[in-house]
Amino acid sequence: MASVFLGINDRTFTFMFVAGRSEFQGTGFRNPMDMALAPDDVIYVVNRSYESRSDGTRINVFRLGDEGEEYITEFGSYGEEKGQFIWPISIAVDSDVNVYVADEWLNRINVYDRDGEFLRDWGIHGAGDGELNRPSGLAIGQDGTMFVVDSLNHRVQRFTLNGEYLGQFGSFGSGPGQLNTPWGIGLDKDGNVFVADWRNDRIQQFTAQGEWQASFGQPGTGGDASIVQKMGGIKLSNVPVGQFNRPAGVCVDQDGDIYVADWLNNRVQVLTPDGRFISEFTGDAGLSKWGVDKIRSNPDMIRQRNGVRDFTPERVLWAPCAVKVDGKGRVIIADTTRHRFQVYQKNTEPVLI
Amino acid sequence: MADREIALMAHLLRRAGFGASRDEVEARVAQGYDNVVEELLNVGDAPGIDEDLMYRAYPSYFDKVAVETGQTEWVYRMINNRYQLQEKMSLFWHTIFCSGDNKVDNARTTTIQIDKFREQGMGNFQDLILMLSKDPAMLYYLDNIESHKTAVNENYGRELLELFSMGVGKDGELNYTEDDVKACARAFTGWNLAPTIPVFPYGRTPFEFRYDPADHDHEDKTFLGETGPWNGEDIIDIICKQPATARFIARKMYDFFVADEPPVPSWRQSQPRDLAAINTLEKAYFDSGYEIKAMLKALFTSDFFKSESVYYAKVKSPAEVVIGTLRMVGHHTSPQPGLFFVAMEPKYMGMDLLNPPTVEGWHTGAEWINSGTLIDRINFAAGLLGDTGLPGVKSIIGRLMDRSDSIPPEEFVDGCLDLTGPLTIAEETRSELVAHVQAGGELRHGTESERENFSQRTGEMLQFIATTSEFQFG
Amino acid sequence: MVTTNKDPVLAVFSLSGGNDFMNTVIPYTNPLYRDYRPTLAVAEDQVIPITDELAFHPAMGSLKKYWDEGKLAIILGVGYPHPSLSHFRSMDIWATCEPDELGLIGWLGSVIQEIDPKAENVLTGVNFGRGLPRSMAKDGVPVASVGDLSSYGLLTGIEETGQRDQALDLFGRMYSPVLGRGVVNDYIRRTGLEAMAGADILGTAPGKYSSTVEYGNSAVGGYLKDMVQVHNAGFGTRVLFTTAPYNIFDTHANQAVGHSNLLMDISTNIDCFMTDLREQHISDNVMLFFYSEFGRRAMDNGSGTDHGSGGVAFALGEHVKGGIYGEYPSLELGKLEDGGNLQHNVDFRCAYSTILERWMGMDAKPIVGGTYEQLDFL
Repeated sequence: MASVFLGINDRTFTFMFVAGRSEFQGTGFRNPMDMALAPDDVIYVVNRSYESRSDGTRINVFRLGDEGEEYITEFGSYGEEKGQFIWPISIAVDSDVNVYVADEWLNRINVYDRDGEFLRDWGIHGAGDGELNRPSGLAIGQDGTMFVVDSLNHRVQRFTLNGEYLGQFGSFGSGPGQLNTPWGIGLDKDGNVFVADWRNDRIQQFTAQGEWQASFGQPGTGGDASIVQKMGGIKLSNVPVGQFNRPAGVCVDQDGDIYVADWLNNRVQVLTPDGRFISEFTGDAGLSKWGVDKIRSNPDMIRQRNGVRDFTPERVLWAPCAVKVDGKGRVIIADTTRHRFQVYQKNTEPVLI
Repeated sequence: MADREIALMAHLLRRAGFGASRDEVEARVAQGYDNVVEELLNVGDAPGIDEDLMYRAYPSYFDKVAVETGQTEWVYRMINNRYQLQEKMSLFWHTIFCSGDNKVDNARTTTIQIDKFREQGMGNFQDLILMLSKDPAMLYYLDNIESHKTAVNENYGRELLELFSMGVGKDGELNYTEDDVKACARAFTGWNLAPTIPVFPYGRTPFEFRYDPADHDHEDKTFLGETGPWNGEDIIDIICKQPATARFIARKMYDFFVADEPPVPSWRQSQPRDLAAINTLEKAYFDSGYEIKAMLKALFTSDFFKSESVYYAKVKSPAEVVIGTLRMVGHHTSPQPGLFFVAMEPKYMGMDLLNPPTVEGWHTGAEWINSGTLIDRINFAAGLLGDTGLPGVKSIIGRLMDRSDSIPPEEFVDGCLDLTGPLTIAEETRSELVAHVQAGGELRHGTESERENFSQRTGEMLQFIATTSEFQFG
Repeated sequence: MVTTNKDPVLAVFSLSGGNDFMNTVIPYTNPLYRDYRPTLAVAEDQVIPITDELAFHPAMGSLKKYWDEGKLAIILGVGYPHPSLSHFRSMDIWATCEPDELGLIGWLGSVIQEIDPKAENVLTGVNFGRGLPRSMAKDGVPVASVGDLSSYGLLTGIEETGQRDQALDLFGRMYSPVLGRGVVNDYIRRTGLEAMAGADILGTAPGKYSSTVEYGNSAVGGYLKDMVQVHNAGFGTRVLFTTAPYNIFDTHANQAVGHSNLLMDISTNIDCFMTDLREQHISDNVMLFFYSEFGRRAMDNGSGTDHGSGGVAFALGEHVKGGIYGEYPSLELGKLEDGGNLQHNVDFRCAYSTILERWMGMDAKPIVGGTYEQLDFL
């Protein structure tokens, strides 16, 4: 299904498939918060899970080929020891496919090699230069600069990949260039920085050096999470595009289009580089490959599904935390509360509707 | 500030909420008692908690695939909701309108019921009981989904009358007959659930109410003397105007907020402990057109509630032990790891939230206590009160230090009792505590090492207070 | 009834989460097993055969010797009618013997009351873990729940021993006088003294125990070791209960690795338990019964298995008559229950009745709620 917005069809997207299922180990995810795209369709996923099932707190690695998901391995575990994490939230890979994971409770960045072998960590709790208070978003520039969203310090800090402090920008507030409890971060191909200014309900654009350039979006439902909880992922019909409700994740594709995981609005919005809102995804999920495996071994659930008239709650995105676009123009959305990924294809040619 | 006012405010905040730190008690006294009651009764526009921060830290609270997640979220809300009476009322209704996830097995459905208690718990009783009769967790728990036009299941119809609204009897009389139960159950046929998306592969979807007119018994029914083609709404209408219903809610409220009443099954024979108080609440029920808030207002502003004879007259429920202690010491006031473990404590103490043992709910009063639960209650409270790093404990230490450069043992013990209550303990116990302090030498705080010693001994004294039998009351 | 030198002791161990029956006792020669388990079937050359048709999972090697000695009974296809696939509900059913109503009384609670009707010994029944398990719940039955025997009791938050002893001494003095300040207050004070007495007694157990057996470093290993210590200490404890960490056997995914680790953990630690009892010469009057609330689906889901029915239970002890009891449920498609589940053919209450009548020497009927066929493993 292609989606067109307001008659503007210069950019169209087609739903491709859904990947994953809810599992604490192996072939599934448990509150996937963020993912990092590596070569050969390999994806590293941060699973938050929860305290009574901390066995689900892990990084898993899977391949997202055109035939659907394929499990590779998993690593990392819940705890305070080296290589472990308590509240993992964000992940990035460098050009050598070393893996960086931000832990917003232990205030440290863990580094692993591509196979998940722990290499090192860094991070000191505090508010001084290079110190961290809830590191929530990670992005690595082409020159190897690492940007860390230092959420409770309401700023973005720049580091080398070894954790040496390079600089910072942003301060608490709601004015241009100011931030309130920011979360996700993304870079465009020219190295500009896009920050999900979470509690200000907007996206802000900076140069790599931190000079403010633009703000996108305005507050939507005022951060009301209870409505979202109640709706179970179904987007409120009266929320217009261009409004955000606690945006969590942001990324920019090769054309400069901006994708925002609009967390409490249960959708992903797409903007042109000049800030024109061109599309939104609210979810189109059916059954994933791993989901079919699961259902097949549970015939009573097949029967139960046959009685259901409305699959809307299953179809929609529910509080998505992250979105990434890969080299093939596939828009990959972490559908965090449904423990899966929804994937759309950005069409290179206009699609006839 | 008069001690009497502090004691009264602390009493109000323990009963209409889960207690408070001394700093909050004093701030509330300054506000004035009646203003505080109004504030407790009226939920304002500002959110009770910062839900966005909560869900960001604990994303699993959205779908609540496991009951533990729902329990943990509720504990977080009980600790932090600034509208404390809202949470207390959700617990109140949960102890009466019991449904358990051990049967429902869909934690999101079970907790959505609690969310509704939170939102509507101080509203109109008729609305509340209509909501309850359509609540998916309840319909499943009491088998109304098995009740059909051609084969009536009486479980919900019976419990609605016996345990949720009227009670078996009052003043020696029966409130309804078996025929009334049958009529009631017939009126709720067709009140059912829609087919639900199964749990695999993406997690749970909550149950949804669906009325099926084809499965409803449309024939005439005679219920409490009134005859007509009653549907569920009509039955609720008739129930709400019964004096028995006013009596039932009044006694439940008195039992929960004022002092222990005997268990419900005996209410047909046993008179209320304070009939005048019950009559006051019954009157508020009818005068207001079944408004719970009006009853609560009558209760909290009454002399029977403010009477010192009912301070500490109730054995604290496990939720009150856990939440009350956490609020006193100021722990888990923002999202942090470890919450799951404290949220399981009520269960270890015999109150598995979201899983009442039966539809009759928990047995309360002295029945909360056995040798196993008492150990857990004492260890939990002592562990936190002895932690001198926690803000509430630090504040108590600071207040004691402010009293004088060297604090005599008796004054020290009394100060600790005052700041954790004010709590009165048996003189025999108090003198043991005083003797213990005396044996430990002088309490000064001039030097760094003296301050450390002072803090450590305050933590120790607070632990001892947590072990007293009096601390088990709230 | 079995005759033991001392009063018989029943130890019960619940494998919480729904242990996968088909990969515990494996029908390794049945081609349908391999059809249903494309991902999870254990290779024929890796299983540990116990009969021509059945084999242990390779991780259960340490239990094989008890099978060879004839001390391990395996009850196949154990369950109850209209199985519930909810963990909580099914655990409650096994705990209360009430498959239809929500039951309140735990079967072991009734056993404890039968042994000690006046609740004279607070240690007649001991649970290893936190809270009161439903199996042991009954009004008026005291049960000590021991999270960690080495630090059990009041005021465990005080780490320094001398300071804690002093605190407990003070507690005793605070609770001793009869004050007459209200019925409930007096009751709490009595209960406090009881709790302290129980803790004092339990606290002596580690001092009476020394052993060369090294248990595996897991929660299960800790609890089974604590069980042996309490039994060894001779407190008159007759019912011991513990459970594997909550829902740990719930192997929905990545089961090949996870389930193998779990079976290894419980097998080696049960071996330690039995070896330890023998080393202390106190194994004669102990029987260990272990079970799970349900089995899992016949078919794997590509990496794990989901909730099913028809499980396996084991009885281990010096007086147990080893062997196979019940039948392996048919794997034929038409014989599977709703949802592709193995059909049970032995009611769990048969196993309970056997244990109660032949081991504990009690009338089983009021406890399990009816008369059930006895099995011959005792």
